[in-house]
Amino acid sequence: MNRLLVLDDNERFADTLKRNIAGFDEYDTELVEVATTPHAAIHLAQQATEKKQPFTVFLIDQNLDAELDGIQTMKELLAVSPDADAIIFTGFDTPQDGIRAYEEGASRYLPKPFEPRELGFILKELSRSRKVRLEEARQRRQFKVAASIAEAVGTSLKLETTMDAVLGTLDELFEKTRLCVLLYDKHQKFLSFAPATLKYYEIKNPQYTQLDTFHLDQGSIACRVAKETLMSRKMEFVNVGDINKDIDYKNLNPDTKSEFCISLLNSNNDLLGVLVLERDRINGFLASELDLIKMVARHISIAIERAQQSEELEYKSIVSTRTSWAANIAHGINSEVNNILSWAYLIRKKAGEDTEIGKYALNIEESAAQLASINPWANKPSEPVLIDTFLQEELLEITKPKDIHVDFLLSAPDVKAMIKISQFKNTLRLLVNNASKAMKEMEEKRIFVSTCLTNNNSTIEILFKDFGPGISEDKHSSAFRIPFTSKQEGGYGLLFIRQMIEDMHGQIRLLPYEKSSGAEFLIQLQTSDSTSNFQGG
Amino acid sequence: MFIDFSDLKKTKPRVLIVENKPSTRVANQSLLMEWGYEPVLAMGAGASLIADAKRQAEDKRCSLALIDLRILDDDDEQDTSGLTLAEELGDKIRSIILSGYQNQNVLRAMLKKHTEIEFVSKTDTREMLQKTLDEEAVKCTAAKRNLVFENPKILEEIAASPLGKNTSEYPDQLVDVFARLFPNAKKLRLEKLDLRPASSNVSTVPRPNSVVLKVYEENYEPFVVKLARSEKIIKEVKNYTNHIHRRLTGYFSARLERNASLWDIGGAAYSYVGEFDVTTFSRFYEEKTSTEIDECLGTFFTRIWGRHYEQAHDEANVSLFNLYSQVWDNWYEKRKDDFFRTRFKGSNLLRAERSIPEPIQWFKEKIATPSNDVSIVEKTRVGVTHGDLHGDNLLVDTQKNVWVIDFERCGEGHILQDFIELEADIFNRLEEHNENFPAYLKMCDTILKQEQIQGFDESEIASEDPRIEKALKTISKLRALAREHTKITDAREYLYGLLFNMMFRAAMIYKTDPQKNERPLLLASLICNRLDHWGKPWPPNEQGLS
Repeated sequence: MNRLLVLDDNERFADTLKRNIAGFDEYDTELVEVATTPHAAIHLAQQATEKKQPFTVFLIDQNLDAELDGIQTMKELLAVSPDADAIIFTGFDTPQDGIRAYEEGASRYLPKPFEPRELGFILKELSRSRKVRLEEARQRRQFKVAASIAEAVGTSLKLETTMDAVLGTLDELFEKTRLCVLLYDKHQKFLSFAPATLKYYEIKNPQYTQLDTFHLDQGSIACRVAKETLMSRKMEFVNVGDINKDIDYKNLNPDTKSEFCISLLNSNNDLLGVLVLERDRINGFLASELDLIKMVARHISIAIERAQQSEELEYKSIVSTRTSWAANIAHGINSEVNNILSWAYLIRKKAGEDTEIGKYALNIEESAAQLASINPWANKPSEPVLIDTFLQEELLEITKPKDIHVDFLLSAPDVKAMIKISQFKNTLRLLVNNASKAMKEMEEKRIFVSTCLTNNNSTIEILFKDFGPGISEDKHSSAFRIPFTSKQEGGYGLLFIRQMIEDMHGQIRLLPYEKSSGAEFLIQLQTSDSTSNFQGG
Repeated sequence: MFIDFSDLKKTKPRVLIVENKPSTRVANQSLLMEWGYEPVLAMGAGASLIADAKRQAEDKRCSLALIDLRILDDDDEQDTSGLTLAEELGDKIRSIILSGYQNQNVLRAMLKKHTEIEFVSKTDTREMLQKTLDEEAVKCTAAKRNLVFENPKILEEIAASPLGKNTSEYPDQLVDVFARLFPNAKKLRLEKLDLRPASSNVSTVPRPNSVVLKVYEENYEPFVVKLARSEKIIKEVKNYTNHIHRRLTGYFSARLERNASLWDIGGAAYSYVGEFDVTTFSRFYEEKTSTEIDECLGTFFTRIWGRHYEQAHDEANVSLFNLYSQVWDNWYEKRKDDFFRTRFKGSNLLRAERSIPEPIQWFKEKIATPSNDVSIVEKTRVGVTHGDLHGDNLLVDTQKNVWVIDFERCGEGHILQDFIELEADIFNRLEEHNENFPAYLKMCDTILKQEQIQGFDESEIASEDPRIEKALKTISKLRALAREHTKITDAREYLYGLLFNMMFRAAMIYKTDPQKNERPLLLASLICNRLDHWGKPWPPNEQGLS
């Protein structure tokens, strides 16, 4: 769209020109302003540029009855709108003026009188070449952005460092824009601020300063985009020109007028999160910026995916270094168990099954089998166990000597969970130990355990909560990934818990931190319902 | 070791124990004894344990093995030397891997590749170990399956035969071959195929090392089973795959269904399309008329084996002797120091009347000396031959459908070989009916006379001895078929083949059956004489008998 400014001290001529221009075919005119003095023209140009709507063409009469002539005024105007084209026309055509006009940056020099149609052709031609010029500039800019973001993404494998670098780069690139990256938690179905985001994004509305997660069902424009992406499994975006007209908008910052949200996906098209950009004016995001924002979103997706993969790797390498020696010891144990089983069996056979000695031998065999199964790498298959009963019996036994009181809220009395019994016992023991340590200063120690059937009866959720100081926010994301401890060494408990639970095809998560409400773990296990279908097929 | 073929339950399968921990070794030994096995302990550590395991397995002819997964290094998680050993022991032994490996899933995945190898965890109950061991033993031993043989007498006969004597130290191998060939059988009925008259239980062919039986498993169609030394069965399976499988024309061919090779003995089980009631050509020959015999031979050489003759090719400057030696496993090299030092006594009667050469010497000088080898021909034809075609390998059913078994010597050879071998077999059968020596000698002269390969004239066939006349009729048919299918005309090629057959037979039986040795040598001698007189009238006039 063309925005023109006509400068002529002959007001009638200027008005005629204005009407002519508005009537040109195939020439999009958004605005034609008229000024009669250089001063007024420069003022209008400055205003337009400030509003981010600069003029694209100046039509200037050379012979002005003023302190500046047309060419001098053109210089000033182009300084204000460097991307604009200027046409100088004159009734006193001299070759020197023509040369001077071009030297000072005019796009055309046009002697009067001229046919309006001739001006029409010139304007159309200028419009075309301007489009080409702008496209080239846009591509150059995008390339530069891509290069600097790629550089930022490559700085580290750690999400926090990477996000910091990426957001820092974007902050410089997008002027007057607030940026934030929200990560999607697929288990709890909410968006939360990515690490380092809050350095670049400030919640100014006091009503929301405590807010750090956005449940998908609770609404917000970002949540809407996230939900659409989960449905379509492709990149979705929304450009809200006026946030006041969007019912989903959550007013975190009173200055925000327009918002652009775009989803972030990994290479499997799973939702990773949402990139949010906000500006302080209505219709702050132009269609021409879409490609750039898409590209930025892709780079951020790569950064998140890489960081998640490296976290997984880090976890695995820690677990494997910590378990390889254990596996070796287990082999030694198994070899001896083998011998005990053999000899006890022979005693039983020789003495007779029903004799006293035969029964002692059977006890030895059972103990040996028990010894072998204690080792968590024995990899016996999972078996269905009535979970409520199991939790009640085991936890009471474990907590009794530690003087911890357990509050149960068990609501799955008939549900059988698929567990490896000795591994799951170990898991509970480790969780109770953690809780006991966390609450050691407290006079009354208690934990809360509840069960709940979800996911079409295929999953049983076990909530395990202590009432100690909890695991603070900054340690949350790494709790099940790297050794976690308040002390100098050790801290492998949570890693082993995760390994044992995942070995049973289950999952364990630390629920979001709430100050002084203790640590809350959610364990999800398969029920025998979910596996019976599977085995049947 | 003694085995009661009528009650195999008492036999204890030998199980090799390979375990690097002496304490576990002893424990496993005690368990196996408790469960009715005979444990065989491999001793030593590391590489020497593995070497001893291989030695013990063979020395004691083990049928099962219980092997620790980590033999070389107990502390090396990657050590799967037990599995490697199980593979190397091969299919003579069924192996069970015993392991204290942590991740059983990983191990199971590894073993999936080796479907023949079983796996038990060291922490499994002993009942589980026993169950696995018994299940494996049932697959490979007659004893643990309690396989019942309806007529164990045949097994005793085989055990006493030269073939069976190979297994005399561990005769359970003989029944275990059947257990493996018939993996689901509970009861088997054996039947001898060559139901020769009771008066004659001597094979006409040198085959001390194989036995052919018809085996019935419940209501199924019977199999024809050949038992022989393991290496021979392996060779037979290979030849069958290379030359027979899908390569014979006509409907009637035996099909190798299963095979098993143990330490000393192996078996090949053939199914066949045809009548239930099948007999050997030897017996068919005894019972049927010449017309029926001719029909049967015509069917075999034309319809069954014909394609091999069509695909034969020419070879130039070939020593026929070398061709036959290759098929017969270089017999001459093996016998030359022993048999070829002996002398042909010769029939006094004949030597007085005819100056016939000493065949062993003649053979040594004129054939087995490469520079003098008179059996080198400018051109002959080479094709796939059966290599051991005699009346017991050719089977005939009541509808006169005919097919062959026993492909141990099958492969490329002299194109005339199969005709010659069958002729030699017919000739050899007459040994037992030699009352009429003049008629016998006349027959010899007849089959040596012609210079072209062709059938005989009616007048030449006629004999006062009906057995000889039948033999001559059949030989005449064979010659005519040979000419038709091989396109070779020069009868000397045929006579060389016949000579090699006679010498081979004589060399094979001269120790075990010296009486029978004279007849093949007599014909050999006459062939030498004939070859020396080639181009001249036959029988030689000046010395001939009238």
